[in-house]
Amino acid sequence: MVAIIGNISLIFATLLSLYQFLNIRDISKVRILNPDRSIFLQFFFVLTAFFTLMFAYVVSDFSILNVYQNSHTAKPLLYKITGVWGNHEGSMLLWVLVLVFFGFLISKFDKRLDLPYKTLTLSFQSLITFIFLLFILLTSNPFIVISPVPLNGQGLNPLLQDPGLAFHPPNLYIGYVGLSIVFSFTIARFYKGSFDASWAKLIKPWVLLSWSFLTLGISLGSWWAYYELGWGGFWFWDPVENASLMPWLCATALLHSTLVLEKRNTLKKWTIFLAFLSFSFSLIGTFLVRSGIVTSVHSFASDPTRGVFILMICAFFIFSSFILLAKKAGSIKEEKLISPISKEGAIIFNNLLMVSLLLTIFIGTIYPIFLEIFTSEQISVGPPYFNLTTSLIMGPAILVMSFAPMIKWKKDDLFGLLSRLKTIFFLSLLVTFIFFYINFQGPIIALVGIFLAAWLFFGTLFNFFERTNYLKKLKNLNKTYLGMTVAHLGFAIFIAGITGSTLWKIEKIKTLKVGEKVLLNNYSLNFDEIKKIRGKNYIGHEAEFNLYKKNKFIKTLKPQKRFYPVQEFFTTEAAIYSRGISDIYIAMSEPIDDSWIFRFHYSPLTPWIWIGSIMAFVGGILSFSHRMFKKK
Amino acid sequence: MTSKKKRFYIIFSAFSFFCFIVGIILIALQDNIIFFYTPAELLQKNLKETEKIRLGGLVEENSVIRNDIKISFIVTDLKKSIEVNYKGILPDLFREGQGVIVNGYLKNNIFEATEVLAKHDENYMPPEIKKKLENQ
Repeated sequence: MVAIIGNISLIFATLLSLYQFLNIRDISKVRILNPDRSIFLQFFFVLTAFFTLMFAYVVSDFSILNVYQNSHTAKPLLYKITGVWGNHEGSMLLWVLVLVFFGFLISKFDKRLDLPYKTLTLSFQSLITFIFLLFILLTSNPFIVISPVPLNGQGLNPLLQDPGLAFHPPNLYIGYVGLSIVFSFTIARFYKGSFDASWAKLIKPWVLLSWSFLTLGISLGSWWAYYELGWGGFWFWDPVENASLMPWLCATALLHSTLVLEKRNTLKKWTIFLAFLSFSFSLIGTFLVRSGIVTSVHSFASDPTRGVFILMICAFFIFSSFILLAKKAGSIKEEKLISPISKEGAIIFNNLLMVSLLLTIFIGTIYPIFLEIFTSEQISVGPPYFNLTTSLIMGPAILVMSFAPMIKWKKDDLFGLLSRLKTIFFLSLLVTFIFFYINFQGPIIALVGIFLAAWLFFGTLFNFFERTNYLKKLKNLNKTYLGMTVAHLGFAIFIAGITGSTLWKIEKIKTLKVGEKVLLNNYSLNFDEIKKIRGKNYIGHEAEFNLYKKNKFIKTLKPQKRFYPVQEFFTTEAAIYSRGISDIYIAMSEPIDDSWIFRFHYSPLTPWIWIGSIMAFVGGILSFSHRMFKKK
Repeated sequence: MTSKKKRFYIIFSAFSFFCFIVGIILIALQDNIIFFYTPAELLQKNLKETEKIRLGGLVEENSVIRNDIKISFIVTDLKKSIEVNYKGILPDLFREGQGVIVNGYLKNNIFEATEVLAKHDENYMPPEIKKKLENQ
């Protein structure tokens, strides 16, 4: 029954999306199935398929192959629900759900669009939906039945049995797939209207929305890795992490170039290029994750036909969109740029650096793949490559980012600008000295990171004070500007967080018996107890550490080691004490005779990574809501 | 400034920017590429002790010896074997008879590992190893 409802819904949605795309030229005729209704029905049917699959998971219907392979009756309810997208087929269905959801959002809520342009945009969105639904039906159908029905399922990878699975993929997909709507908006513009400031205004909120959720999704994933994998790191330069970072960089560049298009009526071709590139990278990301071509935490069980299919989808969209741009480029007229010392100059600088960083990360990610194909030599590109190139490129970007919002459009005076930066410079230097004085005993290069963070922070704040006339004119403050300020401040805090977490982290690995203690910076951790624990589908051990600072009791920390019998799989549940400016982190390893091995971290500023990311998200959403819903 | 001169400056600065980025990429790549070998391949090569490499294979049954946080085990590709020393915490899914990848340096035919890489799936075998084992 479940399989029938699921399959029929998927087939209906596929036919509808094809119908809507084929009627692309038919915008004037009144149809019973008008574009708004048709997009609503697509959304309705994909949603039905999605909930049908979820239902199958909740009631543990093992006649469905996908449920059998990825679920188990003993699994807690939360992980039965989130397990729906903890595998290739289910997550692909979520992907398409977000795709049609965006179409639905546009049709229902974006009142700024005129009918012909909206119809065209929705038609192109339907084309993307159609192709991906076809992919699901042909290679990744979640509703395949097995008989005889097995007694129980194979269970879900225990690493995924964490609340992180509830939040990380859906948010990430909203970001990834949101870029599809920007793509559809852009393609449709080639046939209706022109690439002018009003177009920039139309796509901007959708770029902001995707960017914000991409930011949130990536940082949630990084937080999850931090507390779940037991290594105390937050970013591993894993190919799949890079696959999410690349569209983010692209969207960041796009976010800023639309601003130039809106205000100065130039960088049109470049903005179109970035809009195409962003969606291309979200497709390439999908390919990298799902083709099994890279080794990663995120790889799904691989199947070559899927890889080839996605590669064809990638090639189709990338080539057709860029060929379209190349053909029509001549007819797009741009305003002349006047001076490099101007806001548009600074934004172009940002764009060049973002795209360069994208290029270096792209090369680092795919170089091993190409080398293996052509020479069968197997290599890996290590984190030092990415750390080096990223810091070299981000350094200058942050230097300019601090004062870019202060620069005037068209032309500004360099010396006047520099003299305004004096205060900021000395304030940042002061902060750097304070950090030097506190002395985390790390490398000197860490102080550069702190200086840059402070420079960006004070620069943004200084500009905010100037704009609001020292907070006197807060009422008529432009919300878009407020959003930018919050996001840039968040980025400054994020930079400080990364610096502390990577360069000042103190790590100790110790073997302890009950009653022994370990000293970490000013803290002492007493290992007071070890006990057996039993969860719904796991057994394990839990250690109790009492944390003291200068003999004053602070908190009891309880790291765990779990064993999942269904999969014969161990997981590490780290215990973290976070006091806002630093983390104490304990991960439990294996027993040796009557003692246990533990890994301890003292990582200063680490919580700022997530505080900063959340601020960037909030800033993006502020600007989005203002642009989307403001009254004219 | 004439428009010809202006165009020259734009092209010149774009070109030098491009060279700068490519330069960074090449320099960074040169120092940070790690080659992947199986024990048999590694023993054939004459590598410097300072070159970081990645070794992959199976953890030989009954080869793991622990001494506090110092661990030694044997990685094999069923042709040749190499003893690996490591100090630290092993990933959750490190098991005898299973696939493993270690990063580190080969010194006097003993592999000093700096990292032992985690696998995240019980059925998982690094594709590199799978391919190399299949080819034999």
